[in-house]
Amino acid sequence: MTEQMNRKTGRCRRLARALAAASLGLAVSAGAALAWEPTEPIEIMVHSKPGSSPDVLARFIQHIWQKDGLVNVPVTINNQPVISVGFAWLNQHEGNPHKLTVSSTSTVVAPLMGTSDVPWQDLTPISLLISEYIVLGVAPDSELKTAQDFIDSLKKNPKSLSIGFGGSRGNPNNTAVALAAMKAGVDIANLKFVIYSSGAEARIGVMGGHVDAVSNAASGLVGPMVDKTLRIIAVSAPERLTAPFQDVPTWREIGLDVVDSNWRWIGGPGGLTDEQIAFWEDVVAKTVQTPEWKEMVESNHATTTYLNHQDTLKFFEEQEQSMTAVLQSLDLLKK
Amino acid sequence: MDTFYSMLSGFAIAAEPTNLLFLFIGALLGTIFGIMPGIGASTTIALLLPVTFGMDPLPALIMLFGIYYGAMFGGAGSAILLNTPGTASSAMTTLDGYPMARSGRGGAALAMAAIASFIGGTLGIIALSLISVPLSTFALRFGPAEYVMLMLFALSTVASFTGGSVPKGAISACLGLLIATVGIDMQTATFRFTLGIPELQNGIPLIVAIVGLFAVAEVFRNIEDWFRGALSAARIEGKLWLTREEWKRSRGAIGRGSVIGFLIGVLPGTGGTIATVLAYSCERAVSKTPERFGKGAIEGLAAPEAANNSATAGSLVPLLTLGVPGSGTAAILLAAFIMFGIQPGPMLFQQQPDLVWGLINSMYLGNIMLLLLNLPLIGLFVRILYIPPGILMGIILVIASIGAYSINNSAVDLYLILLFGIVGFGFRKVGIPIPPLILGIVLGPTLEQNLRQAMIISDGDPMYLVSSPISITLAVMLCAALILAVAIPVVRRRRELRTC
Amino acid sequence: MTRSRLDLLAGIAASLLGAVMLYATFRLPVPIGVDPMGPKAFPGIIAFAMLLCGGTLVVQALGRRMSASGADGEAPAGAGHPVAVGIVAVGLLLYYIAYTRLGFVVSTAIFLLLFLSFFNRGRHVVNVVIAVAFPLVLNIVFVEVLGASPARGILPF
Repeated sequence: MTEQMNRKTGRCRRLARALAAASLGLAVSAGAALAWEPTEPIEIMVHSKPGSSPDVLARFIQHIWQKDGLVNVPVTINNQPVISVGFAWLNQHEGNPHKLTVSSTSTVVAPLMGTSDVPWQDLTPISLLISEYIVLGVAPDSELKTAQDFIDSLKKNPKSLSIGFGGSRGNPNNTAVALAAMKAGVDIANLKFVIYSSGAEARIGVMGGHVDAVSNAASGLVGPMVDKTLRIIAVSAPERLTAPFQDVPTWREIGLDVVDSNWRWIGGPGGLTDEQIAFWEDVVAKTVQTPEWKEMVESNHATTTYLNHQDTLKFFEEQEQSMTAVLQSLDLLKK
Repeated sequence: MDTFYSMLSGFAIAAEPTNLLFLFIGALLGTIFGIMPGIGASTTIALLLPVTFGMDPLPALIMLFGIYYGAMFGGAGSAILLNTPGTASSAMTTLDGYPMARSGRGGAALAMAAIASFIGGTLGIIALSLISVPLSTFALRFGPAEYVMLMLFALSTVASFTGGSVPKGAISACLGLLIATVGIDMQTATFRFTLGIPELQNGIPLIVAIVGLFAVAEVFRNIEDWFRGALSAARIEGKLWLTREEWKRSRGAIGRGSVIGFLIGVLPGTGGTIATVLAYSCERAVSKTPERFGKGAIEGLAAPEAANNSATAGSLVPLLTLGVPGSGTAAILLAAFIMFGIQPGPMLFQQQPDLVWGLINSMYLGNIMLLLLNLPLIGLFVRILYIPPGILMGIILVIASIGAYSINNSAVDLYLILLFGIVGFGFRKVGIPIPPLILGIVLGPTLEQNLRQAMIISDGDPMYLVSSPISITLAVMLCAALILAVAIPVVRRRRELRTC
Repeated sequence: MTRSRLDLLAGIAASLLGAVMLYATFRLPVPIGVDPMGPKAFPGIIAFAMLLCGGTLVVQALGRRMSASGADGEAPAGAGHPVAVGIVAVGLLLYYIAYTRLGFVVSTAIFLLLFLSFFNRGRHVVNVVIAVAFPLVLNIVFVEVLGASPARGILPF
């Protein structure tokens, strides 16, 4: 009896294995046959002006793709004025894998704040590209010698210091400092955040003594770090950065678990198929391996953060959660 | 000694054939696109940025810089001949340049524009070479409070444009300030007055207003003249060159314009347009015959033209020494630097002296090149006046439209220039001056944002605005300007009444 | 139109605009916990100033009309032709509407042809040549030299 059953199970197993092998082979060959390649020119949408940093990054990617032949069709950049217009445009091309975008944290943050109607769930992220961590700088003769001094002053009185940053409310420059203060128990709704139109202007605001601190991506403060026109007292990275920031402590070192960065991602509109996503994942993976890319990342004191499509989706989820918490305390959430 | 040596070797670098070639290309492109209304230095540079990707940094930057001040030369051409400024910083040039052209002195006007631009630019570059560092330290002391006072002072000079009717000038300025509030509010990330139109979220670009207020409005006016049978092309009378008297009157204007332009350019956040307005107001204020302004006074042409070129050099001071652009166009140049992996800032002069001095010295050469390019072109330019007015009007409308469209690739901008055209036309009918409107649009954002930043820093305390030596000085100047603006017409009227 | 009637119109228009902007400012949403001035303060003050200035103009103009007449001059610009300007303005509007749909080259050619046929009458050959060549040349300059992308519309380039 058992022997008969065993033989049957054995035959079943063998049959199952054979079927599995056959279907895998079928899938592979089918996959190979269906592997997608672009058939028309690619347009990369950037929702800011030519010359802005996402735009420069997109043009850099365009340059690498064309130079190394990673994409065999022409690639153009399409500048849209603001995020809502840009994503509306992208939405119009739902399902079209030839329309891409290089965008940033605002993809997740803008819908939360109500400045964009397009939730990131409607889009197809391919991968993260780079992350820049946020540093905090003060004047060299400031009384604030360490990050702890900064936090202590704010704990005593949230209005004791003014913090300048470039960009707009809710961006990583804003949230990195707010997160740190929030975790230290400061009432962040009362913080004096002074918004400048660019990080450079915030920087000279500190140098001129008009604001007490500046929050900016590390790459923007390399110069002042090196020539000592600013003292950099904290960075929002999981561990210390490389030179010249190797002596800058992370927020974690003073007990505040703050990891916040200015990340950029590349992706397309909703409705892309798996093959299309796979193609782009592959291209992006190759892009971030090129020596030119690595050089660019290093000179910007950024980190390449390639994640595949699924992991990027998870990352967006996490970001949405943590950003919601900070934005709520800053009272920036859409009502 | 080291610096001196670098400065000299910079000339050798700038004079290399490749660099000279790209300098020429940049200057030429700048001039051409500077003439066309709508497209100015910033749009041209932004569009050409990708082309420079694979190039060596120095020739690429030389070319892009060449476009910048080339546009300042070119913008004057259409301003003088057609009353349609090619760039925002040529808007003031129309006030006296166009009347000069209409009264037959177009050639002289073009010549003066080129010469004033050359002198202003060269003086600016000399200042850039010699006193950048102390100047940038001074510029650092301008914070939100100081900017508020400076902007208020600049607005108070509006009074000199009102031509006797303060409410009209104020209405114009207020309209400009209101237009400036359209769009996203930087401090709160909310939208104001965008009427649900996404393209308005970035605000209304200044150049759109200028194209509408000048190019389109001017065509409307010409159409009226046409129907009245009064439309005649301006003819050239007399020599194409300047008379000795015109020269004498302009010397002071060029000098003053250069100084004002450079200083305003140095301050981040203020650029060529504000510089030209202030230079014009200053010239008018110090003149013994202010009533000639607006009717073809050559000083009224020389001052702004010198100012906008020296402001170009000035805006490079914070760019090269602090890494902060001194104007909107300089911001795009900054993007170019970053693209090439160069971080401008104090270290730049030490780390890459060849690059910096090669660049700065190429600007001297560029100015000379532009002067040589523009002067002979005067004869060519004035031929434009001989094109039949019907064709000319059509061409202006088309160029203005495509220029405006290319700023943002947005059809909304086209409708806006039509709207501004109607506004400009209406203003001229009613006698409302246009410069305050432009000043309002340009200053509005800086004034409001700095005011609010100051209030954040001081937690709502207005006395913060007058708490530093610079801001107090500016406040005093502001009061003086206001008192003078009110007092002078009153005194004049009393004097007139007494002599009756 | 006499000077004071124009001033009156201008004053009324300005006051109206000021009032409208004041109202619009009032209705702006204000998130809590922002800077002490907020997004409403500045436009509010300016709109109010405009209202005041417009009102002043109205008062001045009325005052001039009621005082000894004869002190009123003809407006400097002379007789106007609002209809003609209006037609051209509408023409421009149509041109802009067609701009993105038909593309730069086609819509410009049509516009120029109509415009020139009226304002440069009689010279049909010249007009057609300009109407066709000018947009083509501009298109080449903008696309090749600047890499810009004027609206393509119905043409393939």
